Amino acid sequence: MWVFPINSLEKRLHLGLALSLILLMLLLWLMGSRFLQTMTEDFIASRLEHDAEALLGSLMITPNKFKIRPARINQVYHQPFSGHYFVIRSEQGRETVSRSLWDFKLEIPQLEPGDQQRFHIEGPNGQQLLVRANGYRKQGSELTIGVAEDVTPVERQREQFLLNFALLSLVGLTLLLLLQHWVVRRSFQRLEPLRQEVKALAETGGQQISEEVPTEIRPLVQEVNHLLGLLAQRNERSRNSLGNLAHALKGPLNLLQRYFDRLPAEAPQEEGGQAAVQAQRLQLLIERELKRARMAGMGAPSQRFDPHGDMDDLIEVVKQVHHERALSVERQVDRTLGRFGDREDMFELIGNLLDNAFKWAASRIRVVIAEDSVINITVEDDGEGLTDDQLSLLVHRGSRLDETVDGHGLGLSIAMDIAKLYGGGIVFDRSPDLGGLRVSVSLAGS
Amino acid sequence: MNRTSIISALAGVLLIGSALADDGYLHARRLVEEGRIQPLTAILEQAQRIQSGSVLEVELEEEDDLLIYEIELLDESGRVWELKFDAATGELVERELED
Repeated sequence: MWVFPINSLEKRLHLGLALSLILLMLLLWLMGSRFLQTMTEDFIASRLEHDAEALLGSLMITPNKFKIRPARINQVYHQPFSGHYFVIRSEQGRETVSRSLWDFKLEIPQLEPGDQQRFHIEGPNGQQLLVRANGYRKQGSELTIGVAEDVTPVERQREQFLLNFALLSLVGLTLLLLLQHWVVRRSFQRLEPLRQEVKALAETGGQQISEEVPTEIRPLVQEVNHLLGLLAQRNERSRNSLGNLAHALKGPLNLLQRYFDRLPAEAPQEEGGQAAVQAQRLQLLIERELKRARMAGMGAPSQRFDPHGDMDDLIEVVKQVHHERALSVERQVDRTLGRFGDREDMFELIGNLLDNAFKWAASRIRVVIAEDSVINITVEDDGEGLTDDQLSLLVHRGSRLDETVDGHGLGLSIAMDIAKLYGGGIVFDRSPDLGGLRVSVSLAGS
Repeated sequence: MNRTSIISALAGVLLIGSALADDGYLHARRLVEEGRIQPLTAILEQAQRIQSGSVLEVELEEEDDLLIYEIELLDESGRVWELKFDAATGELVERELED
């Protein structure tokens, strides 16, 4: 439909409105112009008819001469070149003309009685004459009376009117386009809340967008909502199946563990010990998966981590896991800090650090989340901490953490993986304040 | 046609004496046809060049054997001018503000 590609709805609306208005105004202008011309000419012609009849009435016909009783006709027919003229023509071609014509020759055709003609002709002094000629019969003679009027003044007024109309139309068109511009801008402003909502979707993780939107974009919003529902469903399903798998593996693993526990004395120490460590490792992995499924169950997919609200939940969950230990958790979070990272990732990262701290702390744990150019998360406790040897091992062989440091195992390894995923890193040292282990995580991308 | 010209000639003869009569235009028509005087459009064109205004009245008079066009013009400021032209040559003879 559109010949040239315009990728702006507003421009399309403008073009559409402008074209239709120009078409409409052109049509009005043409119709107005025609109507005015017909109307003024009909009006002038009807006046000319009256004058012709008055002339006919005042005409005295003698065998070879017409005589007009001057008192009966309008004075303008006397004033030379006044713009009002008449010609009376007998069937023999004899003419009597108004004084106003002076020496100008106004040609009219000879008409039968009852016949009528209307035509334009050039008059004296550049006048444009509308001539109305009629055939009559009076006192036995046939005659034609032509009455003419100069239409230049009326024409000039008509042209002036049409010019004014065109100018007014132009102004109207401009105003309408401006008005449309304003209306369109306002309409599109109604889309802004939708954009905000979609943006918030990624951060707070609502499941749906409000369908209180302009009718024209409601189908789009409905489709997006449908898609969101599908995604949530799919996520839920895969999380469930992971959880189910972990659950299913837990039973057999427990049996294995118990088997290894009962084994120690008789079995060959080397292999049995190795298998037991691997079984324990498997169990930890499954625990992690289960924990993850449990934590992730708290919110919608692809939410971002809220360092204020979510921290409450997280600390609560870890406290419940270690409910046998009554520890105080001190939390310091930058007030201005907004959401960052993926919720599940942060839950896992901080959850693991907290879990580790809960295992080793004597009475106190401190979590600090702060932002300068990167986001820094520090978890420290007042436990025994690590020896310098262990710390240097962590620094040099960080990736094999779970194998090198007894008990601090898998959790820290996972935390390190996540920190790397976010382009950051982990530093282990001794807490100068609390005396136990201090783990400092920095996350580059938020 | 013959009769027409005789009649208008007669009318002309009759009217020459009374120059102020309204029927002077009939005389003028005949004289223009015969080419003895300039047509009124030409005289008016000249008059407009000398003094612009709308034509109030035109008369053809005979003064001292000369045919004179006497033209009254109303100018923009409402004053009435009287201009006299030699009808044969179109030359301005007299121009005055009418009292």
